[in-house]
Amino acid sequence: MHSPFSLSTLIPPEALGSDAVTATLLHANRVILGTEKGSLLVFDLSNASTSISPPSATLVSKHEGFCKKAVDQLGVIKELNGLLCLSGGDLTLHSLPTFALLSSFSAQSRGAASLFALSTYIHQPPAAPPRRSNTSRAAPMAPSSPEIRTTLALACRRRLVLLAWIDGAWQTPSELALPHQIRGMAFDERKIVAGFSTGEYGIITLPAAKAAASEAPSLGELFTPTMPAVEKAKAIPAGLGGLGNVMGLGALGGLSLGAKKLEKNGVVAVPRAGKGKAKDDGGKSSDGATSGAWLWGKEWGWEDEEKEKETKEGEVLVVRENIAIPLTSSGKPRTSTPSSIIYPSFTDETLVVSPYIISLLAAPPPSLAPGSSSSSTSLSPSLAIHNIDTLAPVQTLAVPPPPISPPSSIAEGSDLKLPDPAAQQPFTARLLTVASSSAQPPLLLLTSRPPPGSASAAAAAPVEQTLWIVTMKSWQSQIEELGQAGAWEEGIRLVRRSGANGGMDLPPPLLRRLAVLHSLALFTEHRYDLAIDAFISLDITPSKVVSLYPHAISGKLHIEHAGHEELFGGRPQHKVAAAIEDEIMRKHEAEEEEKKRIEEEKKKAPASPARKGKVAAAVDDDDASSIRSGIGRLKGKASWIKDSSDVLEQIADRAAIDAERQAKLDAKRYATSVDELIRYLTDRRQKYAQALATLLPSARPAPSSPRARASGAELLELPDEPLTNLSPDQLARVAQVVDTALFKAYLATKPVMVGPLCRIDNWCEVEEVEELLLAAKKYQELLDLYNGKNMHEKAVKLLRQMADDEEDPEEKVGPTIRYLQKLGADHVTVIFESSRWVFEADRAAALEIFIADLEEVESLPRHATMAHLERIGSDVCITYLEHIIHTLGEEGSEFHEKLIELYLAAVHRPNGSGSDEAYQKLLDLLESSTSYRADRMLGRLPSEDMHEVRAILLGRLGRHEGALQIYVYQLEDHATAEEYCKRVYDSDASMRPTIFHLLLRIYLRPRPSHPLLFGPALSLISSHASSIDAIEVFDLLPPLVALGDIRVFLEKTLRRSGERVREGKVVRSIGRAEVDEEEGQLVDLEERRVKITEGRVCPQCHKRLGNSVIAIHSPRGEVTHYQCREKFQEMNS
Amino acid sequence: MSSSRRKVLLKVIILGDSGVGKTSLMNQYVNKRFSNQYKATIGADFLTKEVMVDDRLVTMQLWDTAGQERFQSLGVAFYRGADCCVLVYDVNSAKSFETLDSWRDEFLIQASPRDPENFPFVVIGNKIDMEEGKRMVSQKRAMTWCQSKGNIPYFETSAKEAINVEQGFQAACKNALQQEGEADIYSDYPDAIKINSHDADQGYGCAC
Repeated sequence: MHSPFSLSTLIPPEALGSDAVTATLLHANRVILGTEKGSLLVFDLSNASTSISPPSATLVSKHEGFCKKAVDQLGVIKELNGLLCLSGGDLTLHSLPTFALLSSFSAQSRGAASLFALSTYIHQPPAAPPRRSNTSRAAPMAPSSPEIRTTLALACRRRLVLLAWIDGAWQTPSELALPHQIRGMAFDERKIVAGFSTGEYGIITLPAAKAAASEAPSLGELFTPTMPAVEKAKAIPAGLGGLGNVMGLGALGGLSLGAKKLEKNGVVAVPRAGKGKAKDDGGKSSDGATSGAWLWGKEWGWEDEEKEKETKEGEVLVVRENIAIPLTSSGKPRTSTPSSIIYPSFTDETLVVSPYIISLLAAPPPSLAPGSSSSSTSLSPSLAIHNIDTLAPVQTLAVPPPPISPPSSIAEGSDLKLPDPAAQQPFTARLLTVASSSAQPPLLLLTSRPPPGSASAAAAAPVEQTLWIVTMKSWQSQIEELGQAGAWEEGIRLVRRSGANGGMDLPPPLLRRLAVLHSLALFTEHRYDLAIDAFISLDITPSKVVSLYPHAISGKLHIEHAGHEELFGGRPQHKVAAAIEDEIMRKHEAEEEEKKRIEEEKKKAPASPARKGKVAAAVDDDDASSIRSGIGRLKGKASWIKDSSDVLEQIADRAAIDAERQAKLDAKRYATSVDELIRYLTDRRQKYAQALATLLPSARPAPSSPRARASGAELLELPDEPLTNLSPDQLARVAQVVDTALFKAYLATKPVMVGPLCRIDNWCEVEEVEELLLAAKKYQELLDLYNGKNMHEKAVKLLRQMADDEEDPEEKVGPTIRYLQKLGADHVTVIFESSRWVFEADRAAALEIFIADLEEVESLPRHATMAHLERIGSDVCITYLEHIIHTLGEEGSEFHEKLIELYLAAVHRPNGSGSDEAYQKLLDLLESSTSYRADRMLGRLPSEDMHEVRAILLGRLGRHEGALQIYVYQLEDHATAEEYCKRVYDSDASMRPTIFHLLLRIYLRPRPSHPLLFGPALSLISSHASSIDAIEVFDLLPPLVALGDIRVFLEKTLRRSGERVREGKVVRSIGRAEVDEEEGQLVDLEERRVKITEGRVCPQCHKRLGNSVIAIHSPRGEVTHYQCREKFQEMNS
Repeated sequence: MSSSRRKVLLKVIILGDSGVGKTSLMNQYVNKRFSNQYKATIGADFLTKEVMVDDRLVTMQLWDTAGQERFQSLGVAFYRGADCCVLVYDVNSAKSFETLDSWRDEFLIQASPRDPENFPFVVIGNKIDMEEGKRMVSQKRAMTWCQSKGNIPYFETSAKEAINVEQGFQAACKNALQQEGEADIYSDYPDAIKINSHDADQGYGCAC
């Protein structure tokens, strides 16, 4: 527990004098003390709110005889600038700072006033009626400025006097008769909760502010709060060491009977938390995290508190005897437990300084606690400080503090006469009442009065009294202190409760830090949805969020549970770890103890069916166990002896069930947390995509570009900022973290989603992800991932591994082939590299990598492919080249030549298998293709062999004679030679007259070594007589030829020449006829008709044409005299 | 079935490349209108239509999205809670068909449906009114794809001529309802009790 308060001397005894101080007031840095003898002491307080130097007070003035009697209570009405003083049953109002008497309320109090309570609030009158309707008339009454309303409740025996001021103007007082005397009361807005001397309570409702005059205040029914504490009171003091046990019981008994009159029945006002204001402010500010809006928002997990606050009821604290109970202003106790505080001894005074309840506890009288003298550590009064929300004890301060504790005051040197240790001389601390007009800092004063040591001077002797100041540490240091113990949440609650400021005055960095810690707390409380929302709104870097998850998801980002707090701005890891260890130790010890206790109990407890039944009933809610216990019961009937062991067994069973249930719950929580993580990560995915989109394309990192591996620590150091503020490199890291974590989350909970993630653009870190995918045997997804990242080498490696496990030969290579087919020209090296083993595995199938009818495959660079395939083997290369040449229409000479070479090589292969086929293909190609260079090919030819090839090539080169020689001499294939000639004759016009002569010459003028080929020559001339010039044939023919041999030729030639003559004649006649026709047409076209009238004039001589001879001119048909025609033509030409 | 009388709201999200006719399809289905003018959708917009499916009044909330930007301006929340996703492509554009895969994947990631394997998709090949020569994606190819993705229903439509549009959305609606029904069944029952989880091995053999 932290200790927010410290006690130090403010005014030493010598300055206070000997008059017993009976009332204190703090107002505007003035400490006003009222004494027993009716005088006022005014001190100036400095440094009260700063922690730099200790507060000090100097005496400003002393007003002797301010009142006639002891000052009972002091108060201030700020807007009146007036000091209220209750003394001798009367109330007086004095002006500040002169203390002149302003008015006395003795008429109302009639000397019977015992205490008063003050309430000041600002009343906002309802808005003026709608202006549009009556703008002019409404003008005088329109401005409805807020009013300050002050109500003073004065308890006078069995009356309650209500005095009121509105904006400082006195209102007519009202009075209320009461059934009993009021012992304590407190305001909550328009209600007063009053504690009566009977121990009952009543709620006095003040009339609504609007109708102040007409309505009278009313008192509701009296009630005694249903005190759960009554039962508890019996047990708890015993637990506390019997302190005040007897007394407590006695007092409570009296209380419930209502017989005994109570001297004290305090009601303490609890200031309302200022969250409304904070909420409004939060709305304006855009940055929710630093403005403190998160301290209240429902989305930050405060909805339960929110609900409580929305009931609109304030709280008061009812204090009597040693119990303090918070009640709502309608008189209901809290529903949460504990609903009350039970102090070890009576409370003298209680105060609420949000978020603390501070009570001054009287020193337990030794006589009342006879059995507890040993355990009671101190007989001096003490200050007990409790949290108002949880009612948990926070701190206890001894009054006065042990001498060592206020070293500062000793150092001051102002109060050397510190009272002696409390054990020797019991102190009575009497007053604690503070009426402070300043809201902050919460500061309170305390007077402790050590009576003089000698008993003789009990009453009259001058008392030695000291005014102490109880200062509260700044919120910041309190939070820090709590944080050191890991109680950040408590610190945050503290801020929430700390009054009107609502945490707004905390420095933004601290507020943010708390918000971050709160988000972590939400996470650890398994409120994952809220936590994730918080993480998003705080822009916590994803790596930190991911690190909260178990190793399976966070991977290298994983951090031990103990380290989470440090990561989110809390305690360092080793401290948390130590704290956890302590806790475990303690738990362990407690368990051990519990075990022992059970053992003992087991030994002691006789076998009792009732007990067993109870246990059975306890486990009844679980089916399995109920069955088991049912069986147990049956067994139990049979043998009672076994009972006790049954009980133990059942306890063990129950533990097992509990464990199972816990495991189930854990699993459910884990699933929820991962679901929320997925939500978070998909959200982040969008955010980083947006952030990336805003970057310039040149600066934008690409998911597939290689990136050095970042260690977990590096990633955790990414700043907690909106993603758009990050540098491109940081952004890339964030994206990696997000996608990798998303991947792992999917793998853990929704394996189906891994596929889609791998297929779309992603930033997964391959090194991390691939192992997982391999382990999960998600090869297809891994391939998709590699593919997306352009990591094809890895992909094909994987494919190869997969192939090794595959039995079916088709399936062995199929996936690899399909994968490679899709890669395209950019990854040609990968394709080549990996195609090798595929070729080894299945040559025919592997070819599909290169010849499949797919766009990507066709785009592969053909030269490189050819070179690659040639290395694989000439047969595949041949198939490939045939594919591209014949199917794809490749015209590049390199390919054709390469194919020719390959064919040549194939033909020459020694084993000769398929060489015929290859040879045929070669010839076909050579014949059909035009894309090779024949001379080069000719050079490649072996000198001896392959005459056909050579002939074709020679023919290509235009060396028809050479080609024909080959046909004739080497191949002796006259038909082909003839065919060749025919082809040339048809295709090449320039060779037409001579090609057959070439052949004929070869036949008839052979090389010396060859015989005359008379036969073929004759068949040639007889079959191609028309294409061969007869004269040359006669030149070539040997001088002696049988006429019969050349008869066909001669006939054909003669017929041909006759045919030519006749043909010439026909052509000539046709030509003539055409000329005639043309001429006739020309005459027709040139024929013109002109009309010569009386008035028509020759354009040349401008005389009338009359009956004279005329000439008509082409082409426009002008008409002139005949004799004028030459002149006219000259002129117009 | 107790839920059958309840009024149902279905959130249907229409995705696809830009210019494939998402907005036109929606407009044709809801408003029975078609405009030849192309106007790029900005962000997202939705129309609602009430339909009767098996005696059930169903309100379909059809979310039309901008195909031009991928999931960037729309929050994750937009996709969450979707009951059905309609993937649209243009039969005259091979590219718009090829991107269906990534649209589907993106959707699954963003929407994180409870049961991604059986999440109801519907594929619509739009613009079949164009002349046959322009067509780039054959019906067979589209059907094969749909089959490979878990038998996604496939429709060929023309928003312009109002061909098959009604049927396509009707299928989307039915599938979504069916899915929802199944989800309800699952959520109503707590974890199944495993009868033979750990007592199973005790039943075999004798104990000696």
